[in-house]
Amino acid sequence: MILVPAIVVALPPLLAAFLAIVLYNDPKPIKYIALGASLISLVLTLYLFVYSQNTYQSFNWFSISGYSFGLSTSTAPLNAMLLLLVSIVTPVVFLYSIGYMQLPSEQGRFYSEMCIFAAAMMLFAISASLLTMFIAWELLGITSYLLIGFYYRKNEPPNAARKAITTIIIGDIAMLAAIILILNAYHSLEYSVILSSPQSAQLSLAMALMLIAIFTKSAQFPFHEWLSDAMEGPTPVSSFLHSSTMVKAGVFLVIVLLPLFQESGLSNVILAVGLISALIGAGNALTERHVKKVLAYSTIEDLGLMLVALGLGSLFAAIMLFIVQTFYKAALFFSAGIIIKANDGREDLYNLYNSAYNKFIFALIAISALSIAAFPPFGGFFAKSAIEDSAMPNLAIYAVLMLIGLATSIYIFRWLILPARHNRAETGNEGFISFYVIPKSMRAPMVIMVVLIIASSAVYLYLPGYLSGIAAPAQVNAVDAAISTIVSSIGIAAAYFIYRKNRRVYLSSTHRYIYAALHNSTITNSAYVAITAVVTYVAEAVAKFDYEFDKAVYSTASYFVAIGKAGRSMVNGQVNTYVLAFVLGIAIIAIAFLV
Amino acid sequence: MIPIIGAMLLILIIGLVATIALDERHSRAIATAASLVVLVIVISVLFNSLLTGNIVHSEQYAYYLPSLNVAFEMQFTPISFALLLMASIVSLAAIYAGNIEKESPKASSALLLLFEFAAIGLFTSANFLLFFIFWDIGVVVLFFMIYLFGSAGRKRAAIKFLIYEILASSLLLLGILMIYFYTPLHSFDLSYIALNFHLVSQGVQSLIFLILFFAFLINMPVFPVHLWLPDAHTEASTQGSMALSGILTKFGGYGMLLLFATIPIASSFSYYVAILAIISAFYAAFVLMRQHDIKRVVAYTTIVEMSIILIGIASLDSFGTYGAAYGMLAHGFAVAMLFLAAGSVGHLFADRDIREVKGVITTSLSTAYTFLIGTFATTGVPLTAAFIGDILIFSGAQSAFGNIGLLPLGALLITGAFMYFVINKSFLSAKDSSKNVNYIGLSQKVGFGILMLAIIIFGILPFMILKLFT
Repeated sequence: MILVPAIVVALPPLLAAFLAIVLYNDPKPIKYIALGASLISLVLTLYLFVYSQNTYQSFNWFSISGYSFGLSTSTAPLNAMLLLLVSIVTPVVFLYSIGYMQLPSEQGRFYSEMCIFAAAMMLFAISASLLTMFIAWELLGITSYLLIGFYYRKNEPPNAARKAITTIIIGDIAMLAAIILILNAYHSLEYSVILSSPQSAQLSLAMALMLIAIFTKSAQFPFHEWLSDAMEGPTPVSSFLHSSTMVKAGVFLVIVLLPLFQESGLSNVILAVGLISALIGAGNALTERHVKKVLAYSTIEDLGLMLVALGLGSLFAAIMLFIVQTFYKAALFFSAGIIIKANDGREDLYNLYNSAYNKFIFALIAISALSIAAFPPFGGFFAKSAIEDSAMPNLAIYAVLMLIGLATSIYIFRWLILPARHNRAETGNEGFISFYVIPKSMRAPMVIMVVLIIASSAVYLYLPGYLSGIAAPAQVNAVDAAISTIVSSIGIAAAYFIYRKNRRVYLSSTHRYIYAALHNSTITNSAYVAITAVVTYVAEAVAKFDYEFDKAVYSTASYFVAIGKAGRSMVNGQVNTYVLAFVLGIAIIAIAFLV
Repeated sequence: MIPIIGAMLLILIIGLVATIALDERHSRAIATAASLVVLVIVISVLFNSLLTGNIVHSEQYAYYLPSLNVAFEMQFTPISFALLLMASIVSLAAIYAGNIEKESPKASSALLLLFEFAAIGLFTSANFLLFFIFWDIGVVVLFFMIYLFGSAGRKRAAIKFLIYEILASSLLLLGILMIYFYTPLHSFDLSYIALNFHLVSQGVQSLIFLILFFAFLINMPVFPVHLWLPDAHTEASTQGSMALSGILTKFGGYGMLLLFATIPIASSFSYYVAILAIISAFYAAFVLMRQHDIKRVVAYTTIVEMSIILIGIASLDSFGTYGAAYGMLAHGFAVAMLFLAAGSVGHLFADRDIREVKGVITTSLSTAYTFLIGTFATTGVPLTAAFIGDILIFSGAQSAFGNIGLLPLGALLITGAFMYFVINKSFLSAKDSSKNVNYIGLSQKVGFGILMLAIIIFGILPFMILKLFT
């Protein structure tokens, strides 16, 4: 077969982005162009997956002083896995967008940014050197920033976008510093070169900096708050960038470079941050009322769980969750979009109704929810059980994971049950109809995703073979599976009894302290504000100094003016003064001669 | 051998005469044409040198001052060629698109052509005397740019600019004369000095280094001699700002590169220079956070970027030096873009205060996106030219100064965060009370396009320039 360079998969979306910019004023065909391009990418990906597995390519980008900076790509199993996930999700999201983004005026901007994102994500997936990775990494951050602030006419999105980019730029700078440290220590940026000799004086510092970048990108403590605000973006963006692909870039980097993190002694940091983030995510998801933000906190929790697995050294469990999370989270966001659309754009869980009327859609949503709640036999069950298994030796961590599992099934069924209620205030049957007029292009992606969720259970069987030589397979043992199923069922039952019918339960009014402990996003936000205030205070002081400095320089000039004024009196045009000066001068010279 | 450099200078002089002699209606077109021809020549030289792999080229016209043994001698070196390319593109954009205020096109076009003449002459000078002469032409031209075309406080700002720059010029002249008298064969010639300056005693070298260092420091500008820049930018017209930050600050940067390359004692000062550069970067980043005028914000980013370039120069590492040269190329485009966008905002809303201006994107899409891409370029996002400069500069700085060399990244972080704050406050936001009073024309959009193309082409195809360096 012909050897196709892996980088070509990123070209169709890039071309589509270019066309979207060209066709900015006539956006009708853009959505089909984008969808077509993503399908071409999918075909190319499948071709690569089948015919050129494990191929490494490198292009010389530029060279200087005898050192050449190469852009290298690889289709090693891990890269191919992420590439396949991205290529599958992209066309589905673009199909969903056809139904969701109906205003022509916003399509040019939307598709150009989405296509650049898709190209960057594909490039990220196949990157085999830190240089290639960093190019994609920054493009992911920027497109995410632009898409969060997509609805700039509203008040909130610009602020959410600013919060996201401020967090992400911290990571970008940390990543650049890490890359430069590695470049100077290894004189190479290839993953293979760095992984082959994980000993270097600067490595620990570089990996610590890289970890900061990873935590910002994957929304982990203490950089996690931007993700819930990012839900101000359009729903296709949330389901694409902020759940299934971009936020997992950080975790993917840990997966690829895990030996380096272990060598630098950062495993415990990864474990601790993952665990804290998972707890924060679960707590906030339990108490959040915004339909998409619940899912955002749940994404923080999922990513935290992946890091827990990586911190414990269980690569297999992390990869398993990495794969299945893509499908169920995308499906949940698709459902959120459908529910919002059917409820005239309202986003408060307690103000959403009637999702149970359309039994077909409700069944699809329920399957996604069961999958994230780790209910057998869906993919989420195998992934989360594998993680819990790897924590078995340490009972404390195991107990925390169980607690998180319980919280997950409670909040996701709260999220499922609340919008399923019937709106009593409603008289006609608009609510009933609204779930039947959802466009086909929004329903079809739901079906595709749910099929993938069900199919993803098979990943558990197929993955050990695929990852042979990379990760040791983890066997889910029966006892743990039983415990986890029971916990999940208890959670589901609890959610049903608390939130069934129209019983409005507001934790915020009944149990204030528990609520404050769970819903800690406000505390994090005030911490961010405090840090900004400190920086602003320093800036204020420096700016004041700058002002005073300028004034001081100006006043030195006034001394010169004063000297000039004093000197001016000597040349006042009066002959007497000149004669006096002349006589004095002669006298001084005479004295000088005499002495 | 075709006398390329002489031809470029001659074309600019002819263009200048034609601009002044002919009617005011044609002046912008004539100036643009002259500038465009120069750009075409520069690009053809670039392609030719890519094919032959050799850029070095020199021309000698006459013994300018036989008694001093100085020839009117011009040359290309790889670094000076990169800056020359930047200067010709930025000049073209400034001449064609910069005059948003439509203020006396004849005088401003003529001044800009003269400034381009000075810039091209400076970057191609083969000796320090010509360097000095072109330097002073550039300074005086920009003094008139600010003094004649600007906002209300322009006269005070212009005088302030002139005082700082005259100080720099006189230090520069002093330093050059000292070099002349201390070199064994009394020469101004750059390559001769670079080869023979180690023969001069250490004390004299240090003295000359310090004198010239301060001259270039004022021009770059770097804390503590930066005070002229924000005022000059706030008051200057858009064209003046583009030329000032885009090209004039590179005079100092290029001089600094020459200084570190020619005077061997520079290596013993490099650590202190790096410390100064780090302080300056953070200082400017913090002051930037408390500015409200968009042009003033951009002016302070210039100080941050030039401080970062200074640390690259001070590293005396090949990565750092080439990175600094590439960084200056990138910064020239980026800052010209930002000033053109800031000037457009000022023209659109008759206001540049970030607390007042809202929703630039709803009024002018191109202005908003130009500012956005300019910000990407400032913060060193890959696929813009600045990324190549940044990675090379910091790699050089890290290997020369250890991890301290990476500190300016923190200043870059603050700068970037605040720039995005400005974007979300004024550019990509809802338009409420602020109302636009004007529209921007096609020529501004073309100007945006030229600069945007330049920054992306040199970001994606950096080897075009970097190949010349090695």
